[in-house]
This record gives sequence, structure tokens and C-alpha cells, in this order.
Amino acid sequence: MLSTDLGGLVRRLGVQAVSAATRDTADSRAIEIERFMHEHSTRLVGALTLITGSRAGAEDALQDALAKAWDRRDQPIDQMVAWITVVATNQARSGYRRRMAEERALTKIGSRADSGQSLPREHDDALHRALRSLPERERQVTVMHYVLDQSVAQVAAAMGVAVGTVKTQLFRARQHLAQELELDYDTSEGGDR
Amino acid sequence: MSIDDELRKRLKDAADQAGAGVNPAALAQAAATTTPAAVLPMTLLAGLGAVGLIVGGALGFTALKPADDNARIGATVEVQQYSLYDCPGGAPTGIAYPGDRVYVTGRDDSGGWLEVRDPRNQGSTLWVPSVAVDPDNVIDVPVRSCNEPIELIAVDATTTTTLLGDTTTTSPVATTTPPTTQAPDTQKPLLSKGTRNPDEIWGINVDDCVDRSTITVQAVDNVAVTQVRGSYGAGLPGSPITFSHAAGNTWTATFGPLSGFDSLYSEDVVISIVARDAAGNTSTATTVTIHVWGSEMCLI
Repeated sequence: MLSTDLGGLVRRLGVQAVSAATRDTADSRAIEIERFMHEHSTRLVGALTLITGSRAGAEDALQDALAKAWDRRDQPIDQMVAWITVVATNQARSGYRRRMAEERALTKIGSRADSGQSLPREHDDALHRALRSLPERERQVTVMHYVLDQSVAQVAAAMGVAVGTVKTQLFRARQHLAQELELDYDTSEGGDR
Repeated sequence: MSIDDELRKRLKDAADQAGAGVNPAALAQAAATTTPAAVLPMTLLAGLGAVGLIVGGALGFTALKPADDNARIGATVEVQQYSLYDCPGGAPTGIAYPGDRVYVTGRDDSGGWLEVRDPRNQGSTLWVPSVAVDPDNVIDVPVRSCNEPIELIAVDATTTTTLLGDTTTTSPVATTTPPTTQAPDTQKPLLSKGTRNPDEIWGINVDDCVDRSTITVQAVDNVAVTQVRGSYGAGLPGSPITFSHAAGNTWTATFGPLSGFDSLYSEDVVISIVARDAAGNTSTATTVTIHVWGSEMCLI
């Protein structure tokens, strides 16, 4: 549908300067993004929400990632899913930091932070509380690994840290979550690579 | 169900619940408002069935947001700081921050460098570019050469100068006394607080699970430091470790690998470090702590 619609759409919008090559590249990238959105947006927005604690923040992060993917349409992106996931996750982390800074500032001046972006009440269960009590990096690693099915190596590459660092963070996060959720933790468990 | 499986299931369920109701078209439309490239919404949104929503705005997109928020965050912590060197023009071995108070003990013959006591270890002297120090606060300091031994004379807190950025004025600087060769050396070496990199290792070297750490200390003596050694808990292999003289006052050693480290054992290992001079004087010990993860932790 997309390729059929594209030419007519471009003409209707009066964008005459788009060359055939550019249009082909744009078409290809648009298809990739479209496929990604249809197949992964729900899970990714959910994962980003777990990282940021904010659905709105998650959607903002994904939008930024989409824009960046488009901005790089002249360059190949080997694994679109992984790429957008990483960019969005990093954006989410930045957004999370900004929001925390804002909340700290508001607290300092005696005003409660109320961005209206927090999770709905029904989501505020033990798992969310446990996740929120993790350090930011450990929370990100946990979500990328367990929710987005990224390997330790992929997470490490995405975050620009050593594999060992990710393993440590994952190990600590797992310990903490097991304790918070009262799961029977066995240190000999594991095997995710 | 293993803990991994249980966490995976619960987290995925939570994510799906949190992401429920996502509207891909609306997200893409919002993304379009942040990109300068008009083609994005035309193509992408066509595929997502949202063309009608963006026709009016398609040719008037706003500029892309700053690309790297992390960079901006990094910029906020950027401060004026100065490296401290083992010798004029030598290797950087420490950092002084604006507001650090430093004892000036000399200058090089060009005046471009000042010899100061390490603000982190008053027993050690390092060099800092003169531009880092308010020149009005430095008067009549002796010309000294790199690694020239000094006898440090106790000075009170007013005989310091301050790195630029702090408006505190100071009075004259610390004095030095040439060592006398006849006097017996009874002065103990002084050790800085040690540093280690990385601060945790594993009992196995697989993938990027690093199994050794580099420990660095600054050791200074009125004559010369001849040996620096570190020791740690009984039962662990490799103790004691002998430091090598790197440059200036810097000594380094490698901690690990700890072959035979129990696969699940995990603990903080405290390494006690002492320096010794030729006369047998031994410094007060300083310690560094390195966390050692069991081999198994590397394999998760």
C-alpha cells in the first residue's frame, strides 16, 4: 500500500524536489519504520514506560527515536528494531533524568511535582515499585534484557559499556527484584547470554 | 519456573499492559513535528493511515530537537579543573579543582610551572601550570627541579594559595629546607589514598568479565621510596603484590587474577598498601577495596 500511495501523496503535497533516489531511500526507510511501529510499538512503549515510569515520557522517547531514524535515512541501519529500541531507551533515560531534576527542583521550592505523567493507579503494583527502586541503569538493563529480549552483549553495545558491567547490573537487579518480589532466589541460576 | 522465566513473564506482562492502546499513527504524527524532513510524514504516515492528519503541517516542520541530550547533561557538569603533573610537562597524575587550596613549594626555572603539594596527599608534590594559580598569591618561591627531594616543613593553614576561581587571598608560601646528607633518615614515606581501575573484578576471565584491576598510589619520601607492597586476606592467592615504579611518585600494581576463586564466592577484598624507603622506614598503610565477583557471576 505504501509504495502505491507514495507517488500520489508526494504530488498532492507539492514536494517536487524529491529525487527518485531520495524517494526510493525514503520509501525504504518509511517501510521499515512502518513495519516496526506495527509490530513493536506496543511492547516498546510499555518497556519504555517501565524505564521512565511515565507513559507520556515513553511515547516522547519513541517519537524522538523515530525522528532520528528518519533523519538517518541515507545511512543503513542494520537492525532497525534494535536501533530504535536503543535510541528510544536512551532518550527515555534522558527524559527520566530531566523529569527527576524537575521534580527535585519543584520539591525544593515547596511545590509538588505533578506532571500528570505517572503511571495509572492500577499499574502501581509490587513489580512497578520494585522496578522503581532499582538504580536507573539497572532498571534499563533489566527491561532491555527481560522485556525486549536483548542479549547481554546487545545491551552492552547499546549502552556503550562492557559486557561485564551489564552482567553485574543484571545480577544485582535480579537479586533486588527477587527480594522485593519475594521470589526464591538461587545464585546459581542464570544462563542468559 | 526459574526466576529468570518468572521475571521475564511478569515484566513482559507489565510492559504490554503499560503499552496497551498505543496508536502508531499518532506517535508517527507526533514524531513528524520534530523532524525537518517533510518526507517522513508523507511516506510513513501514509503507511500508517494518518495522511489526512498531517497534510496541513507537512511543509512546515519545526527544527529537530537537540540530538544528544546526554551531551547537554555532560556540559552542565563541566568545570574548570587542572591536571596535576609528576613533572613540568610530564604525565598527569592527579586533578585539582577550583577552590582547592594548595601549598606551593617551588617553581621551575621558567616560571611556567609551580610545584605544589598534592591536595589529596599532602606528603606528595606535584606540578601545576602557573596559569592555574593566581600569580599575585605566589611570591618568592625557590626554583626547583622535578623530583628534587624536599623536606617538608609544617606550615599553618594561611600559607597556602588557591587555584583560580576562588577569590581567597593568601599569605606567603610554604618553605623548604634542603636535606642534610649526614642526618640519619628517620622520616617515613607517605602514601596517597590508592585508586583502582576497575573497582570490581571477576574470578574468571570470560567475555568482558575482567579478572584483574590496576591499583595506583602516590608514594613520596624525603630520600626515595624503594618499595611499595600490598597485601590482602589470607586464603586468597597472589598476596602480597609488589608495586612497580611508574613515573614520578606513581606506583602501580595489578590485582588478580585470583585463580581458584570459588565460583560463587563474592566479597570486598581490602588491599593494605605500605611504602618503604632505603633506610627501612615504613609508611602508614593505606587501603583500597576491590569487589571480587565469583566466577559464576560472570556467566549469567
